[in-house]
Amino acid sequence: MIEFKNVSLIYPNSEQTIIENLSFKLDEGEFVLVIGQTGIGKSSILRLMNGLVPHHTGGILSGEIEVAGRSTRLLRPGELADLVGVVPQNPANGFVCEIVEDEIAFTMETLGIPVEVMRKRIEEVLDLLALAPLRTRNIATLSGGEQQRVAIAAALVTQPRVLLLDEPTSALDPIAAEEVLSILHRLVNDLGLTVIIAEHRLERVIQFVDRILLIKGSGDVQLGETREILLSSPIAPPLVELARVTGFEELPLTIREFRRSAIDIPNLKRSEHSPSGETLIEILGLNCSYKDANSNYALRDISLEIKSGEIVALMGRNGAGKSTLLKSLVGLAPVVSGEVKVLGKDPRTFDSTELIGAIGYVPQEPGDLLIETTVGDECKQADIDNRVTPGRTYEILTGLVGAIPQSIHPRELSEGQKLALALSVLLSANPRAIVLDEPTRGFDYEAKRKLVGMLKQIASQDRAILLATHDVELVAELAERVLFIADGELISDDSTATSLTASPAFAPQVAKALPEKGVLTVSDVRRAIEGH
Amino acid sequence: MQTHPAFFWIWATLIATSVIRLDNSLFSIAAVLAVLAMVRIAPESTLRLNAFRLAVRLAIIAVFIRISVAILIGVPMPGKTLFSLPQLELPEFLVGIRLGGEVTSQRISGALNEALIFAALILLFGAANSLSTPTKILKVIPQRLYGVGVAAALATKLTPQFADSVSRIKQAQFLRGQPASGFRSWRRIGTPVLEETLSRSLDLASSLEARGYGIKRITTRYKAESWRGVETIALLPAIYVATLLPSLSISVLLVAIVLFLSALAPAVLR
Repeated sequence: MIEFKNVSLIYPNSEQTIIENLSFKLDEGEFVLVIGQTGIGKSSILRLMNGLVPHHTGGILSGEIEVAGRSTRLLRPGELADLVGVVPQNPANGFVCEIVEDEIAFTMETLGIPVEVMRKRIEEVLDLLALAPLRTRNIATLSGGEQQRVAIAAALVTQPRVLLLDEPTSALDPIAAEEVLSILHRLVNDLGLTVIIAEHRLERVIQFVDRILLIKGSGDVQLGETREILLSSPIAPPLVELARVTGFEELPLTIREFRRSAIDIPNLKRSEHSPSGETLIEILGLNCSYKDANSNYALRDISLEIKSGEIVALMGRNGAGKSTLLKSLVGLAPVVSGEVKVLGKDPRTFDSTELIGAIGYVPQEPGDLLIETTVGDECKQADIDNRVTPGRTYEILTGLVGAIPQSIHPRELSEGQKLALALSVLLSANPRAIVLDEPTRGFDYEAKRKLVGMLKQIASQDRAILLATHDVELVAELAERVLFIADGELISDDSTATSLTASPAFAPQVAKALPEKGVLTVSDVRRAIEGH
Repeated sequence: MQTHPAFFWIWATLIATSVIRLDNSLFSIAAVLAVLAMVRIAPESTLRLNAFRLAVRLAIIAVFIRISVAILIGVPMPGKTLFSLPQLELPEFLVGIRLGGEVTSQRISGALNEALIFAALILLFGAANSLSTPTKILKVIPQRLYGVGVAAALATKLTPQFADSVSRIKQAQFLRGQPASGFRSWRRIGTPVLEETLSRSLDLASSLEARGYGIKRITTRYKAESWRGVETIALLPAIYVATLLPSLSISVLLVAIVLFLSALAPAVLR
């Protein structure tokens, strides 16, 4: 179906080749996962398959790429629109229309498909993706998972033979991600569609895919059956890591397969989590309103306390009120009643020096905090803003992620490095608490491992950390305590081990594979086996 | 039924023409009021309020700049002196231009008239933009004009997003402990906002490209936009004012205001 023959790609004004002499062949009806470290060219490979690279982005391409016998080198992406459907990394940026059914119709309109056919296909695809109740809704008001489904529907409706998805679950909570992936799985089986997907969170996808394309370097790829690749891949989900630790006959891809291997480990004795630091954050009976008056409260009667040295995760579905709760800590939430105290004071009364000395808040897009054109200038500006000795911010940055050349543009940093830079800018003001909103979007396992180390180091300096996230594996590795919030209410506030095993949707793979052993992560299992 | 998207653009163009042609403060005010009324009664689902707020802000800035320039710089004008500023000595080759000095009533009223025209123009097109969506524009523009279509879609889609980016990045600067208003903050907010807008436009353009926009000559419409009689009738007064109306007396002005409000008919009769 898709064939790459000696493909090389280089962008002008760049010395680095993105892809070098790449050859592989994907068959019709396959579900293929593309993996590799961030920045290694996964997106480029996906976009080569419908000609967006190099027709839209520029770049010099050699070799030949054929999709169903058509050359993407000779045809413009639009001429492949009937053959290849694309779901971009950030679907919200790719939507052209405002209303769900108009958006789904758009590609068919540009392709000139007759109206009667169009109507029939729209009905079909609305049913297929369970979008019928949302058909007249404004896309901007939909949740992330619903938007993702609209994007898939819009790509499917032209009945393409190939569907390309770039990190379709990175912004979704576990339940919405599960929904999207099982729909894809069904499409492959029902329609014989060829699906190519790039994804970092392997634990969510490996059970569905047939083959994996592992990109190791610019010209070095390995294509093979899921098990065969995962056996030796440096990038592997927790379940595979677990099997590597406990030993296995056949590599398990699902929890069921692991459980059937009947591997047993001793119980892990967890030490009780008892924070001893001083109370930094205190919330008492907090109610927050939505901006418009007729909807429900965004937060209802929230009370909690966070002490220094604690790492607390805030979880819940999209739209449950996580961001509002975080914002209340910097005085940006519409508080109706109740008290918020940060370092014993209402954050709304903070002046700017008090604010940065109390809370370092990393917004969902850490790049929003950055304003300069080089890393060095950014650090210097932070030194000036926060009135610290010159070089302090860069020193913190080096302490977090090692030396980064001062002359590069923040945009060229990997997601993990960008987050580290934003953190350093905030940390140089020496805040007592760090708040992060969904920090691991677009992170690979390596970047996440580094983030865990980084945040643990920050917390050990007598600071408190509160992070909102969908990433259960991250929470299992990092947090000691989990707050669950649903529909504006705090429904549980407990230790990570208790919280994450209470509901299967929010349980990490290791806990599902080895239930009632008190283990959440692969390192827990190692500790249990060694008997500590 | 919804108002045809082209209606707002044609109406805005006609009224803008009238505002420039008649050059009358009262008429400009009437135009501004008509626009505000139009936006006020637009159903929430079709209006992108953020985009319109941005236009309002721009209009206010335009008025402010025009008035301050009139006070600070200018040629001497007759009329009653309202107040005077210390005048700066300028080199001889800048004859006829002065900084500071006497501010006369005529100078202010002239500037105010121009400022109102600016404000009316910005609001007219701002309203047309926030009342029509990018796809609708795409469908009105022939696909063969590929570049024009893409540019129009980008502009209509990105203005409201631009307003969102500004408020988000302002918030980020607040979190860095930096002032989020005032002249100095503009550089801090401007750079990230522009970068984000650029990457969003690239995303949208690549989406249009990948979805076959501008490839086929024949396209179809899922829901045809209909131009109804009420839209034509509602445009008639605007056409009259833009082309024939010779000059304005107060009574004609009143008629004009009433007729302007007829532009609301398509929305009301929806």
